[in-house]
Amino acid sequence: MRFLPVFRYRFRDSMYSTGVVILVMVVLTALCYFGIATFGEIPRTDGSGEVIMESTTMNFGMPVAIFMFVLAIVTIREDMRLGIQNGAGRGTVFLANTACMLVTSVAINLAFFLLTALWNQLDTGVYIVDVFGALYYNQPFLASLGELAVSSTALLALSIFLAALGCFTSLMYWRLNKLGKWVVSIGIGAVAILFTSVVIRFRPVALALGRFLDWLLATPWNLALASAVLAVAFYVFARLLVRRNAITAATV
Amino acid sequence: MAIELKNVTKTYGATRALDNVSVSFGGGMVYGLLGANGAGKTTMMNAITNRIWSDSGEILIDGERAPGNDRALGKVYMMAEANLFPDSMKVDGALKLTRSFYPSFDMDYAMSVAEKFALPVKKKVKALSTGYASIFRLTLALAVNCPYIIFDEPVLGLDAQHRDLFYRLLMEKCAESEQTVILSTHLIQEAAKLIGHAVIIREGKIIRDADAEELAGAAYQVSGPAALVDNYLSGLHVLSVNSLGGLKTACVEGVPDEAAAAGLEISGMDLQDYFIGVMNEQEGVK
Repeated sequence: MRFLPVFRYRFRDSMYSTGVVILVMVVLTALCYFGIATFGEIPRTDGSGEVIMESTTMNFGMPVAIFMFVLAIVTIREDMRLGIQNGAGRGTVFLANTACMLVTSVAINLAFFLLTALWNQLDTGVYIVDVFGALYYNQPFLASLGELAVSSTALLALSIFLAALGCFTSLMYWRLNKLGKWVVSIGIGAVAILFTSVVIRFRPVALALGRFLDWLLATPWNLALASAVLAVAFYVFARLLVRRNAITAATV
Repeated sequence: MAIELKNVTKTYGATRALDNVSVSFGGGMVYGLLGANGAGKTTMMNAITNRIWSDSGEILIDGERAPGNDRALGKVYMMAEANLFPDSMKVDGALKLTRSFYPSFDMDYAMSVAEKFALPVKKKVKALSTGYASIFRLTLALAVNCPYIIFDEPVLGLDAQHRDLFYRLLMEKCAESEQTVILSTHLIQEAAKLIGHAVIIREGKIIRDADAEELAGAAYQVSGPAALVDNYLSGLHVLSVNSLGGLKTACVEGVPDEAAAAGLEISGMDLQDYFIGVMNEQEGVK
């Protein structure tokens, strides 16, 4: 098995990128805090001790999910090339890349969970926005460690889904010829417009979509489950794409 | 123990890059994989290393099916024209990475080869010139020490001095190891001294597969006045004919008939002459 050399290479590279992202986010958070503290207003009370205004800064969730999407896009082809150059089978390389994306997702989500929890402990009066907090708990930030953990788990599942989607997208575009790339690129937009029209025009479709969204927004666990199912599906499709494609060099 | 291709076919649209090819590479010798541009050489090497998937047929490495098989694929290292290393990777990083895949990779040897060629190991792979990119890739291939090494146009962009150095290093390597080498090159004359067995491919089909000496000895050149040459050639297997004024030179397969060749000059052929003769015959150039 040549799993380990591919995994080790990718892990080192991904951890470096993860470190850079964490550093940038921490610096931006600190800058935002000092910006708010200097030019804005930190929580005020009305004298009775009740907070009437709170300031929020940064959101770690979406940048993390987008980072995983981009990381998967840029790494899968590189790993396939490196692997095939060094006598590793396609299945092995794919498995190593997927395993590394999972580990990286866990690592970066855990890092931001801990950073958020730590920030909350600092009691700065400026809070880190939590998208899922707004969606599921009706509050823009999560002070409770339990709610934060649930939100982070949902974000982890979403990150893995986006990594799978990135991997699939990258391999699909690698496999397609020029015409195919055009058709798919334009087709995605066309399908989105068509789907919107269908939802508006056909009430049963709108109701079904509504029911699905209601289910999705009922609890973070539903989002985690949906993300996990989609992640598995996209990784299966991606594996099928790379089964027989030509491993070609990157073009400048 | 060998790389075996059994009835391998690969098509690209209407083009049959490999047409029911069956061939074997083994025995610790240097194979010359010879053919014109577009003959199917690179396709064959890419199929062996699973860079591409053949449409039909079987590729075995030491008896194991190669595609997708780490153990089988790990016995082959291909130095291809295309660079599969990330652009941002430095030369020394690529050497270390290759060592992580091949435990038999000899880092000291790789560094000594790099030094002999004055390869800048701290430079990024993408920043290397065509010649140094070839040197970078052949350094990896020479140091990797696995049972089968494939060189696809290894001296591309190299000057005469560096080409000579590469041939010498490869010769030394082959002398001290049991590696089977597949060498695909258009510079047949330069590489001829290394090639023990020649496989000639044309339009996806193997047209010759024999020891290089046997091939070179299997044909000869006859030259002289056109009428005499025409007379001599009747009934013989003529590969190609060149005319210049009243003189003719023909490449003929077989053993020369010295008695019938009175007034004509008979000379032997080297591998390149033989290759050109066979190609001309196939293309109907007489």
